[in-house]
Amino acid sequence: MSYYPLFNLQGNSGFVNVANFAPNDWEVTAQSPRSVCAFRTDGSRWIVSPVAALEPDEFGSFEAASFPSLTGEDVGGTRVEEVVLLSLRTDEMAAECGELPDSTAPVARWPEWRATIGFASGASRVSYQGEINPTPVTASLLSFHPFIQFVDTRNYFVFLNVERAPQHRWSDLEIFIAGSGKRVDVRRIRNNAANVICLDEYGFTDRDLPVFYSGKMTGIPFGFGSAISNGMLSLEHTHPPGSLTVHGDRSQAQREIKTAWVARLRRMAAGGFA
Amino acid sequence: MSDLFPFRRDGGWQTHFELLNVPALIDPDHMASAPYVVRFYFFDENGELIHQWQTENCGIGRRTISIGELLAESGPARGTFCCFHEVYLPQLEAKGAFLAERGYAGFSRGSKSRVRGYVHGNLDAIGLDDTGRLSCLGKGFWLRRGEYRLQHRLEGPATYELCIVNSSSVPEAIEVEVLPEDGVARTVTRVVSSRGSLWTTCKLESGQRARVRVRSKLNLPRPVVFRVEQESFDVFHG
Repeated sequence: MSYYPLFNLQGNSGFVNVANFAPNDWEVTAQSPRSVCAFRTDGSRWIVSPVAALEPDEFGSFEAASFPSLTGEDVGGTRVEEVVLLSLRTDEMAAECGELPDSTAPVARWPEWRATIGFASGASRVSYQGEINPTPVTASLLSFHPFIQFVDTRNYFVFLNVERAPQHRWSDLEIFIAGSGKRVDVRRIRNNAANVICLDEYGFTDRDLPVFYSGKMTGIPFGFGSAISNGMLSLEHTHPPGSLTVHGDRSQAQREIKTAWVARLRRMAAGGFA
Repeated sequence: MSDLFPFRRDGGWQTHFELLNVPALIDPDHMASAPYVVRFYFFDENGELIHQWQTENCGIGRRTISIGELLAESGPARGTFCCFHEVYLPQLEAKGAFLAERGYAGFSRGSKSRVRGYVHGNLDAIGLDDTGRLSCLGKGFWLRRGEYRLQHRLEGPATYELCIVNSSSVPEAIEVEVLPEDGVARTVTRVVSSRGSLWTTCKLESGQRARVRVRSKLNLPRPVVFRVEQESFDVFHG
């Protein structure tokens, strides 16, 4: 079972609803009480806190306002928001751990065991059904971003990363226009955090397709929009490149797509990659 | 292959689709400047083909397609559509793989906000072969019905609208059960044609909460969920 990230986003309060029941009746048939534990990193260790006990079939609701550690900082134009990771567990956890543990609870795959992850303002709320698993430190990110809106909207790219190790590490995120290969910016991003970048300053047109690349960090990329007039929110994550194909070896397809694009952007961009 | 994406234009709703050059995203060096044809097919709630549209696509960019502008005014208010990129990618076929359109549908409701809520496709729902024949690719259980449980708690005050698509090649009975935390469960059961869609509505008052279960022989009958409040809405898939 995965983790469910709780964080704030551009002044909108994060919330998570965790379901202690499986998403289907054929993969996980046994019901049992489970606890919800919160994991947060201080840069050197994972600090673990039990936050709820859920009976079978019960929902647990969690709000970012209940976690004082959920602060953020601006780093070179990137808003880095701390994240609390919620986990449904059947084992007892120590108060600290050196890396994020595997789950001991049953696993569902079709679909994955998900929670409602969302953000609320006074005017609106937005959510998605999701989960996040720790990613390898050697993985890379390539994301095509078709979510910029041009009427009444502030637009952001949100990059969410979770890794097993609690130590902070930084990487570069390069932003290109896919068609021309023009590199428009490089920003710093941090692991075990939600990194938020405003896209409106780049002057993208409605025919441009921004593409984001990081050679040394991967995670879940989102498009987040906030209506200027009434605060309505919009949120969706993008597919990884491997999702552009079906059947065959999807991991290999993803590697080949990334390789082709890295080579292309390297040829077309003004500067090189780190 | 393509997912079957819901569209709606009832009650002020608008649907858009972000048309990307998927072949060029897969193979940018060979496909970036090669024009090719994209075909859209539209189906009503009964799975009947109501319209086809094609356009030439070229270059690596973004085109936001207004679905409502492609359909006759007198046509159905809701249904599904699919999108196929008619391109031969030998490097894919050599590996037994196919191009998949699982892109992004955007919904807006003019009276509330012009901000779009997006939901991405997931399934390899329908295929188009070399002869132009459409085939539904959804699978199902052979004997039993499965139960899918939406892991989202419905909370009022809001109106929830759920859309479930039958991507199998045969009609399937789909049962949607809404279980209020205090109140009587309500069930909607309908036989949905192949390529058809079931739309059902549930209104919750302030303080009310509920859960949703879907039973069908379809092996993943998870809905696209619209949560509509007074001045805003949210859209996501289960």
